[in-house]
Amino acid sequence: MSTDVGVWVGAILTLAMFSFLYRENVVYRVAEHLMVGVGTGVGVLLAIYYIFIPIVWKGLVAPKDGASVAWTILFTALGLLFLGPFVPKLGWLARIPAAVAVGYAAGQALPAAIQGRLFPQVLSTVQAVGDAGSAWAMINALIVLVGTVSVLAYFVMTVRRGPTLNVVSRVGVVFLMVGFGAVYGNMVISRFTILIGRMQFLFGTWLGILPT
Amino acid sequence: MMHKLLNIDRRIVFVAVAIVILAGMALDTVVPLPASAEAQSVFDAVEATGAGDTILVAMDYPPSSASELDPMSRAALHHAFARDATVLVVSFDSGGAPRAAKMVDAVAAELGKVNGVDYAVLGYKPDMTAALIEMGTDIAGVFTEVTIDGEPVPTESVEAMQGVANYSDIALAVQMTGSKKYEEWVEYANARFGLKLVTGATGSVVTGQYPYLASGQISGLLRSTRGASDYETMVIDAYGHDDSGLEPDASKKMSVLFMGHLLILLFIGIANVGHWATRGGAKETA
Repeated sequence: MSTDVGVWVGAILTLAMFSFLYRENVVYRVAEHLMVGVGTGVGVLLAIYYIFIPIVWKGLVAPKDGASVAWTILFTALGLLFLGPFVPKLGWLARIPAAVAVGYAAGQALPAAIQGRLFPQVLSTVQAVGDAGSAWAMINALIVLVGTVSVLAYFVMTVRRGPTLNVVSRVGVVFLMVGFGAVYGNMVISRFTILIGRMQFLFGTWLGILPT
Repeated sequence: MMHKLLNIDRRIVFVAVAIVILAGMALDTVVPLPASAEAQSVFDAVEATGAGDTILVAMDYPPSSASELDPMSRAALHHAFARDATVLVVSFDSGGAPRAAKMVDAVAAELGKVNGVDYAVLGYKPDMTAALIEMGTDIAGVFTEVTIDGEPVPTESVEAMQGVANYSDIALAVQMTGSKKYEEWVEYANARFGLKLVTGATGSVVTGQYPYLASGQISGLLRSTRGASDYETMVIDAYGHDDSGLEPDASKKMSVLFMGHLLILLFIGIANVGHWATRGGAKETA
């Protein structure tokens, strides 16, 4: 049995979480609240250590040059506007940094999605049919092509749906269901592995009964 | 009787799962499995690197994904060190970063590798997208300090970083995640800067990575515990237990998972039998 205090705390909290499998209880709720509290505390510390100190504090106290001080002040002030809603009449101020953040994120994500996702994926889907070196590769490429087109057809909402589009959409639904099944199957395996990890921790690392 | 099959207390299912997992762990066996093609691609990609090349290992996952992803990270580190490559470790997960540092230090100590010389732990950055883009031009500008022997030193002064300015100086990136973070690596590091990328993923996100594997944007993929098992087996087979220092971990989990699989199939079968039997009964009654 482990003599490490950290292992004991981990084991007790793991058992507290597992107690929910029997039924909702106060031990589980304590562990759950503890997790939320610790998570929030860690989040605050991360913001201080990785954002406030290196970017804001050092940016003001030890700046690279005059321009960097100006940028630091500008964006710190912009960030502080997020606190506007704490004063009821100044709540609207939060919209300014929110608009900047949304604009920045959209501007950054759009070209990346086109360059990194849309074009390569369309090209790959189409080229795979032409590049197929064997009958199996051709069948595989055609399945992917039909699946991609039919699933996209399912999500076409902006035109009147005729019988052809409906038929193609139904094929798309089949592909979607197969896809969801694959995701669910993988999810089950994933959760099983997490459970094995916890069992190894409890019966191996903590109790030392089974090999880890 | 058949109605009972449809109303099995969920706690019985939980106990059955626990018993099967414990039995699997107690058996402590490794089921030999043929390596999957996508795991072979990961092995080949690392194998193609040599002494003096730099491999970037990104452990972008929290402790909750450790059970699935730690074995692949460990295997990737052992493999990279076995190739005498210089290893740089990053983590874009705040909870995963300290664990990543701990793991690479442990593996390096086992293999006699020196922090700052053979490897460097670049650490964690909060704005992943901005960091990935900036790393395309100046890695040391993003991760300005690394810790060597408990002391922070400028990243650019570290021996492991000599000749490594940006992605073009990195032979391969191995990225592990249990979330959508792989998309950012593909969209920014690979698509924009041409960084060669192989990935490892938990079961919950791995299906989303297959299109990138098919398009060649990802050069290899480790699929959950199976992928980790394949990869660590290949590393052990190629470099031996003693030289690689790698112990089978995911391979043992695979045999437990196999038994868990059978149990789930058994329960699905029982539920289906109950469903069909009671459905027929309901019709007769009507």
